[in-house]
Parts: sequence; structure tokens; C-alpha cells
Amino acid sequence: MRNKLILVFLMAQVLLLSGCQTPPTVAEHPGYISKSNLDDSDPRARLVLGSKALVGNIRMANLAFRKVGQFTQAQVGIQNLSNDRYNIEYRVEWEDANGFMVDQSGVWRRLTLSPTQIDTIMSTGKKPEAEKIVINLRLPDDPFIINQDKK
Amino acid sequence: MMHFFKQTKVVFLLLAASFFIVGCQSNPQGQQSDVAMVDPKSRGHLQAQLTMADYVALAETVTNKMLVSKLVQKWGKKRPKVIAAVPVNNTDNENVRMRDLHDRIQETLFGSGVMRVVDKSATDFDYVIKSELTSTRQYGKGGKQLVYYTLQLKMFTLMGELVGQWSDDLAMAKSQKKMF
Repeated sequence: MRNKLILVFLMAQVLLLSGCQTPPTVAEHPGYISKSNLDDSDPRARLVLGSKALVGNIRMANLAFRKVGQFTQAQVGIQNLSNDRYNIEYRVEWEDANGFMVDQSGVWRRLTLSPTQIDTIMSTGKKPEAEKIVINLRLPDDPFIINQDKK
Repeated sequence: MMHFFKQTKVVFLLLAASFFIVGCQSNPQGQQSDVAMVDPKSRGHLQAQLTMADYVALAETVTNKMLVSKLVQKWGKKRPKVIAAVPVNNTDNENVRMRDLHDRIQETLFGSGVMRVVDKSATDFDYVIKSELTSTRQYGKGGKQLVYYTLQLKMFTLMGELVGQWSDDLAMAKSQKKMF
């Protein structure tokens, strides 16, 4: 009888403890390993730095989203934290709420950032289901310029 | 006679030697260079002329501006019928592929789903989108060039009234020719 009571008590404790557990937080971008060149701090935006030289020197800030008719428009601030002048290129892609790519039509575009400058990138997801933005940044990659620093 | 044969022999030997040397070259002139696949979305240029990626960039930006305009927002889910005319080439280069630029604009308009794209032969439509590509070019010493391309998109009603105009610029600079 005493053993049964202990057993019931233990089972109740287990149930109680499991009930108290906070539900596991759902990763906003499951499957990606956190790296210094990947900024996924915002659930609707992901910044991927494609050049080592940009890590720690370029960051995204002041994200804003708005509905424009059927589409979503995003505005992302790109901040140069360093005292160097950066000639960079960026490409924007759009994902739907489930993380499926819905707009990959963007080409690489050039952007020049003076020391400590903040510039703004604006993009519109040209599909009504476009929800999240992926910004790829890198130092210009030109197949005919072989002597530039691509690190 | 003997002297003639001796000279011919020397010439023959020199020719044979030169053929031998050319044949032994590990990297003779005229050999085909390697070809690499490149990212079609990259913006590499060999000349100060537009590439396919530039057409996409220009078409994307102007159509983006159009799609988020107050005019298009007012349409809601009406989906009016639109004719997208082939852009007019007003650049200094007759070889710009205007048909490709037109296809890129039309693809973006069609993909957006906010309008119905009809052929230019259609008799029932609501708007006509006319576009124009212009350029200015400056030449400097040693082959330096500075080129600006502008793509303009204009939307007209059936009555010919201009109801919207959007544009985008693209600038290219070509550096000085290197001597060595």
C-alpha cells in the first residue's frame, strides 16, 4: 500500500513538473546554425554577410514592414560601424510565412557606405504571399576583377 | 650549284627548328581559354553596355515603383487589362535588346497578379504602359567612359491621359586603358 502511494506521488510529481515546463521556444529560422555572418535576430528578416571583412563592421537596423496594396514592403537600415568606406553589393529575396522562397528575382545591386553611415534598402515582395526578407551582402564579386579582396 | 644547295639546306633546317620549337610550347598562342559558369545575377561587365542582369535590375526597380504607387493600390482586386508596349530605344546604342527588357518588365507585371496583361493587338484594355530607355555617355582620356542609362515607364488611359510615370537610373564607369 505504501509502495503504491509512493508510486502515485512520484507519478503526480512527474506530471506536475512536466506541466510546469515552459513550452519549447520555436526557432524563427529552424535549421540554421548561428554564425557571426548570419543575423537572424528579427523573425521577419535575415542578413547574410558573404564576405569575412564585413562581419562586425556592417549590421542591419531599424527594420520596418508595411502593406502596400497586396504587397509587403520592407525598409532595412544598413549601418557601417567602421571608419572605412565600403563598396558593397546586396541582393534581396523574399520568403512566405512558411519560409518558402517566393521571389528570387533580385540581382546584385551596389551600395556605397561612408564611415559610420547608415543607408536604407527598400524592397517590395512582388508576390502577395511574400512575408519575410533575406538580405545578402558581400564585397563586389566580378569575374573579371581578380585582384580584389574577396575575403 | 653546290652553294645553292647549301643555302637551301640551311633554310630547311631553320624552318624545321622553328616548327619544332613552336610544337614544344606548353601554352601556344591561340589556344582556347577556359570558360567558367558565373552567377547570372552578378553584375560583371566587359564593356560599358547593359547586360541581362542590368535589364532585370532596371525592370525590377521601375515596376516595383509602379506596383506600390497609389494608382495601382487603388485597383485592389479589380485586375485591369494592361498592354505593355515594347520599350523605345533612345540610347546611343542600337544593339540594346529591347525585346529582352520588355519581357522582363512584362514578367514582373504578370507575376505580381495585380493586372491582366494583354497583347498589343487586343481591342479591349484599360491602360497602356509605354517605356523608354535613354542614355548619356561621356568620354575621357585613355578610353575612360561614363554612361548613364535611364528607364522610364509611363502609364496612359484609353483616352491617352498620363496617369503615372516612374523611372530608374543606372550608371557605369569605364576606367582608363592599361598599356601593359
